[in-house]
Amino acid sequence: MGIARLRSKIFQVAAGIAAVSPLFVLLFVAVVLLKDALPAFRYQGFSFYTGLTWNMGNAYANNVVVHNGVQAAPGATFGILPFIVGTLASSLIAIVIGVPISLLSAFALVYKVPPRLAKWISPMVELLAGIPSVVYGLWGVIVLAPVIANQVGPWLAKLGSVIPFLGGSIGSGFGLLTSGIVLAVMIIPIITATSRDLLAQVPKLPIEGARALGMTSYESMRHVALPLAKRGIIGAIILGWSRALGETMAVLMVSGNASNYLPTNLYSPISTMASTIAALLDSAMNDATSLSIHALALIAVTLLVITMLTNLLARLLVQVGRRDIGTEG
Amino acid sequence: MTSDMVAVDQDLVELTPAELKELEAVLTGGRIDVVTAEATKSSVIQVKGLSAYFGHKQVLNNLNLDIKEREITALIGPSGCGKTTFLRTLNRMSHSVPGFRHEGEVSVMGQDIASVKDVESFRRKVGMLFQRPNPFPMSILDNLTLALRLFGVSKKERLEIAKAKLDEVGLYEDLKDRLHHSPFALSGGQQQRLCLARALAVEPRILLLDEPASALDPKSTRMLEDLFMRLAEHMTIVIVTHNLAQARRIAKRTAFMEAGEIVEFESTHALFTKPNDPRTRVYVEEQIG
Repeated sequence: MGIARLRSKIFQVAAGIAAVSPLFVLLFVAVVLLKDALPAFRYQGFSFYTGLTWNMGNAYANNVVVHNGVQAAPGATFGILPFIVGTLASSLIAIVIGVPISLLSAFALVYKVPPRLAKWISPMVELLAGIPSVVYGLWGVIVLAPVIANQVGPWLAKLGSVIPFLGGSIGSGFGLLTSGIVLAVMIIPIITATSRDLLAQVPKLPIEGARALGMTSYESMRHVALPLAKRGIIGAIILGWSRALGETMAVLMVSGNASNYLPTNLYSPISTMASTIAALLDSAMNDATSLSIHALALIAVTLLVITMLTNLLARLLVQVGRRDIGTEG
Repeated sequence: MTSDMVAVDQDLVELTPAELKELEAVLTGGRIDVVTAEATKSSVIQVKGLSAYFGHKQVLNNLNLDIKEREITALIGPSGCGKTTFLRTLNRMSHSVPGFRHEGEVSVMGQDIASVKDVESFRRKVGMLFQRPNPFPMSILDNLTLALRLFGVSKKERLEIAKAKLDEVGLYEDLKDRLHHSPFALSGGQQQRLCLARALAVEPRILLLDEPASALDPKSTRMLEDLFMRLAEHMTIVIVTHNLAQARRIAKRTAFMEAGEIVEFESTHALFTKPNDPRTRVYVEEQIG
């Protein structure tokens, strides 16, 4: 009796700790990052977000400049607009390419592929989601970048006179489009697996009703199954988008590591916020004033905020979508 | 009640002699003589030697029956006897189950179901109502108009049809101010009638009912049954039911199925009062108790 009560007590305490831990981890990360990032903001102000130039200054100079009470290496200026643009643009390309493919795969796995075959294909989707990002990055370097540079790029560039951002110099194949495609390949398994499970849970009866009314399988998916699974699928897309926003290694390998200017077309080299943090960490350590490290922390805070905002925005969209159930007449 | 009486009076003018005789038989409390009534009605569904399989498992064994137009035919029998599979074979819903195949001939409105190329157009003529109400996740009005919109019916016409069908199932007065609301707030009976109106909106000639009242209370069930009887004046209805009293109330003819076979197919009255086959007798007696 005593043992059982003790066990129950332990379980209750453990469950309680587990329940509140996400909040505490988030608070801890946010507080530490904010504290670390503050000097960079005091030094640079809002031009941190509008500036195009990222320069950690002369780390070997003997003199130290002081601005707003913060010490910095001479010539140091931190502007991350190119990184923000690179992050948003590459992740949006990933979403645009990845979402339709993911939803079609999920739909096919649930409704079209014979169950016996789906039993074999479905686990492969999870397998794809588990491949380390550096492997995707290497694929991007060896296979995708040359294809973009030599085949896809020249072909797309012909449309440049009609559609902005498609024309202009194609470059080496390392840049925005390649990053976006690699990210798309990485988020497709995540969105596919989640939406597949959601579609499989949609009640069969309304779909049968639609089929019995003489709707095609596409029409019943589009008008009946998808609306029933919509909230969850938007959640799955956000999950994929968050992954694309924060992806570091694969993007670092194929982005072309550009800084100090904004992408001029679809093939321009870029950097994202996450890849910049990884790429510049080593040299930032050489900054005796530590301001470069603080600046990288401020990038991390910004990334955190952007990820939270996209989450919030998507949740808002779902709310609005629920209120308007799309009536006619 | 009075409006029903008026409707009957008006219809009298247009009745054929055979139908008049039938009506007379009902009004005078006599039994409808199936043989004479049949003379004016042709079979709209003809089944010859139908066997069906899910993979290697045989679920229907050599079914033969003719279903007459403009009347209600009931399928009864223990669970798993194949009556629902048979019903769903008639609009090719069974065929969407992986591993399903059928042998024999099933002719629906003169067309062999094996040779149906355009399943969607075919299903528009063969409506279906399911065990539980299955409204679509959209407004009441959109539930009624979605299929019409996809088939290219104009907006004005869609609205008219929607209102007419809601009226036909007796929901228009209750719902006319709530057409843009969600159907999920309606009662089960109302939802099922909405689904019936939705099925009727595409003007089917045959209605397949798969235990349509099994999830409803007695009052809603009676309401639906009255609707089915009225609809059977101009369309053919096949109903699968576990409720023998229901079959007795509404069906003109009833088939008793067991283990994938049709044991007996008779006028409902005959099947329940003097069944020919001992298996039917046992089932009917056990069910009624």
